[in-house]
Amino acid sequence: MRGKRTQYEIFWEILTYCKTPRLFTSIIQRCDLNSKIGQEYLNFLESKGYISRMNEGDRTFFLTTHAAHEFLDLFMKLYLALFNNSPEFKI
Amino acid sequence: MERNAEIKFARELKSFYSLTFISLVFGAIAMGLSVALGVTNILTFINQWSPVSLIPACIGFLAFPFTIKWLLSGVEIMDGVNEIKDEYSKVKKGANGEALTTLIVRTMAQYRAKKSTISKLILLCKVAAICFIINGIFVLIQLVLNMPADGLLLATSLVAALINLGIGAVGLYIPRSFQKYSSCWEVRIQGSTLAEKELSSLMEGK
Repeated sequence: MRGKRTQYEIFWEILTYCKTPRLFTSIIQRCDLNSKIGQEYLNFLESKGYISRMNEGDRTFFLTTHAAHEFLDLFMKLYLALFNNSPEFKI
Repeated sequence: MERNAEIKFARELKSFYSLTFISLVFGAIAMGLSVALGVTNILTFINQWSPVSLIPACIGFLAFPFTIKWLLSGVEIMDGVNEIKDEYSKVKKGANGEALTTLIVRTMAQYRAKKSTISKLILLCKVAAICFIINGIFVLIQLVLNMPADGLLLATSLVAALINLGIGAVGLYIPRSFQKYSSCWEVRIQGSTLAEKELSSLMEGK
């Protein structure tokens, strides 16, 4: 169970996972998405140039492009900062 | 920054795991105690026809469903904590910024998913705690009004009152800690909404 994620958090999960070429089924399984939603996310990321398709025989792999690094770097910077700058939970 | 965030993440995870564990243990004790309280006092009422036994019996039976729910909510939360703990143990040795960010994202997602369970647990713990405190006070009042001459009976009643008050106190402490946990993550959720705006403008520029 992945819980409730925002669309940007799902983009992050897909893009970090696809840093090495991945099959569609692996992506939806790893990112806990159904195939329809998974396809929508991949199409969107592809339209932004963040992900590319590679065909190897009859199999299609998805790979994060260099252009996505800007998004990934900003996302990591923002999330680490918001975690670091918030009060710490202690019992 | 990454190292600090990792240390903080590990500490928070440990604290939350401990809190959930304490909650589970005390939830189980409270459940057992509520049954014992209800059953022993209802038997006393039946055997000795002592109407005063009806009060703790009612408190016990009233607290019982709340303690069951307390326990079940604790199990549900523990399930999520274990998932995060497992993921963290996989990346622990080589936790870089990316792995840590993924863990933060997943913990945030878990918090969003379990938010209503945490709120429920906070309320249930409080209700159950109040039941035990009322019963503890009731035992003490009974003790003052009818001071037993038998030392053993006096000691047993005192211990019973202290156990009830103790469970009640822990039952009030647990929701306070869950509230603290919630407020920490609420700040982060608000921060993520602001972060989303920045990410959105970056993507729109594409």
